[in-house]
Amino acid sequence: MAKKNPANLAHTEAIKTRAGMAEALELERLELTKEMEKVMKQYAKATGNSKLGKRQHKVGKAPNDFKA
Amino acid sequence: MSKVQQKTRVELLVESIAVEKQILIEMCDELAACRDSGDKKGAKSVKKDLAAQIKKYNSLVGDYNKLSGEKAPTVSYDLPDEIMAGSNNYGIAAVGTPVASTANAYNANISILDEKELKNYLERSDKALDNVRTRLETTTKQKDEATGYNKVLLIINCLTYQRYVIERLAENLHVCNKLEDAKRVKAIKKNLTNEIAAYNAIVDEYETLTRSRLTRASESIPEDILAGKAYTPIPAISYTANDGTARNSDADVAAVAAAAAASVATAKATKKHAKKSKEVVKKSALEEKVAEQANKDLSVVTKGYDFKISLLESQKDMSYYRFGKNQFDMKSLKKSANKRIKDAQKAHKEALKYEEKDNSRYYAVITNDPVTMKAKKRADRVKIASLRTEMMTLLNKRDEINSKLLSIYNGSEVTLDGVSINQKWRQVKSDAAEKYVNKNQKVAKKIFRLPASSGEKQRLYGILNSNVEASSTLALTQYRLKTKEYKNSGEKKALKRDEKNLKKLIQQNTKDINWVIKKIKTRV
Repeated sequence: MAKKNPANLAHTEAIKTRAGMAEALELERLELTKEMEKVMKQYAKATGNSKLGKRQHKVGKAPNDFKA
Repeated sequence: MSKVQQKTRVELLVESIAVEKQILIEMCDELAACRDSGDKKGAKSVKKDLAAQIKKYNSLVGDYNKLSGEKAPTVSYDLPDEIMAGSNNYGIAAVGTPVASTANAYNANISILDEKELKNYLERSDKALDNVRTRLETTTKQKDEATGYNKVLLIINCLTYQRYVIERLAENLHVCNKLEDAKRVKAIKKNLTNEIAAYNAIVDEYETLTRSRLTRASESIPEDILAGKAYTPIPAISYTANDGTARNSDADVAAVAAAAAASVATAKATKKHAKKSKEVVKKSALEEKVAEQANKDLSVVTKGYDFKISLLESQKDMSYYRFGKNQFDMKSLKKSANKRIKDAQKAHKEALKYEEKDNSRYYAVITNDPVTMKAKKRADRVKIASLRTEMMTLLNKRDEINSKLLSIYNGSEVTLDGVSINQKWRQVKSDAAEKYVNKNQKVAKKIFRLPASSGEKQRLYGILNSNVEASSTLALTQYRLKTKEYKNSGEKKALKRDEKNLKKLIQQNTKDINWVIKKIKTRV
């Protein structure tokens, strides 16, 4: 791609590889958070401690659901 | 009632009386122990129970006398007072000839009973078992609270009750096996195994406390019974007066028990300490791991925001090197860049707070051991344990992702915009951009003086600005190639290709700018 469109700096090989990797990993991390929240809901039900199952923000909406 | 039935009933009564007699003797022992140790409260309670037991015993003896026509002696209701007055002779006579005194073996009469009678027998046996179990439970509680001398006595009582439970269950197992009641056989077998283990645990406790050996209950009893083998009775152990033999003086027993209790207390304390230390080590290892993982989570958030903030700062750096912008534009650019940086810093703090909140919930699942935590049902505990394992797996996966992310964020990486986030790289880029801007000031002035519309001029400035970006990226690429800041040969090749392309891009842009300037000038 870099050869075809050298004017697009965002598509230089090194940049594309690194940033893409971080982004993919952050998304994977977000997916794991979703799964963990599901487990937390079940855990809260099993223990009777409803506080444990509640998250202030939906997954993806909280400030710590970082996206690169 | 037929003669056979009457005979069976009498035999069963003899068995029951023997059992109740044993219980009666044990209660007398307990009362004597309370008397000897000066436990007035305990004595009062035992006296009350003993009176009820005498009544029960006498009622059975009355039934026996009616059926058999004999005149077996009942127990005096004054017996509790006599014991309290110092008597150790309980004077409880044997009634009939029990096949197995104190139910030490399963009843030989069982072989002559028919199915209906066997079921009745079982029913009666179960009821008797319940009574003994209640008594065993109470005595166990008392034993656990007692110390020294009293504890030894109560252990003996517990052993007696426990032995009785085993023998009753052994008998029931034999009956059920005879009735071919597979379901009940299975249940009793399991129950019997547990009771044998409980008996042996009390034996261990007794041995530790008194330093004398006792015969343990054989663990193969259930299998032996089912295989049709003879039941081996567990030897009885008694406190004092019931067998009429001489006993040690109270002072001797008390001294041995006190010494033993002291050694047990020390041993327990050491064991408790060792257990506690082990738990602390185990817990601290777990806590350490949790803390490490949680720190990594926070690091990822911090580094992620650092990444973002560095990008914004780099963009701010680059905003100084722009053609075609007046002072007002530059101020506004700087202001907006600062605001974005400030927002990101604020979001970073918030993110850390929320990450900590999340972690406190996630890691609580791991640090709370389902074995020790309160749960309504066993099923809940199993579910909690399985969820804990699931959470551990997920957190470990996240930990792996965190490590990868940190290696990217900590490394010298470049964002989508091609802006370096590494301080050195940022510097290289800024220097290159500044150099290009200074070198091309004449070109910028040429564009400014052109007799063209502001739109045309902005497009030209845009091409110049693209060259600023390209030249700074080129400088960075060359810097990375020079300092070998790449991970593999593939990346090196990509950087070389980028270098070539960027040079071409700058050349092409410069040609384009010069061509447009020439065209505009000739147009005029």
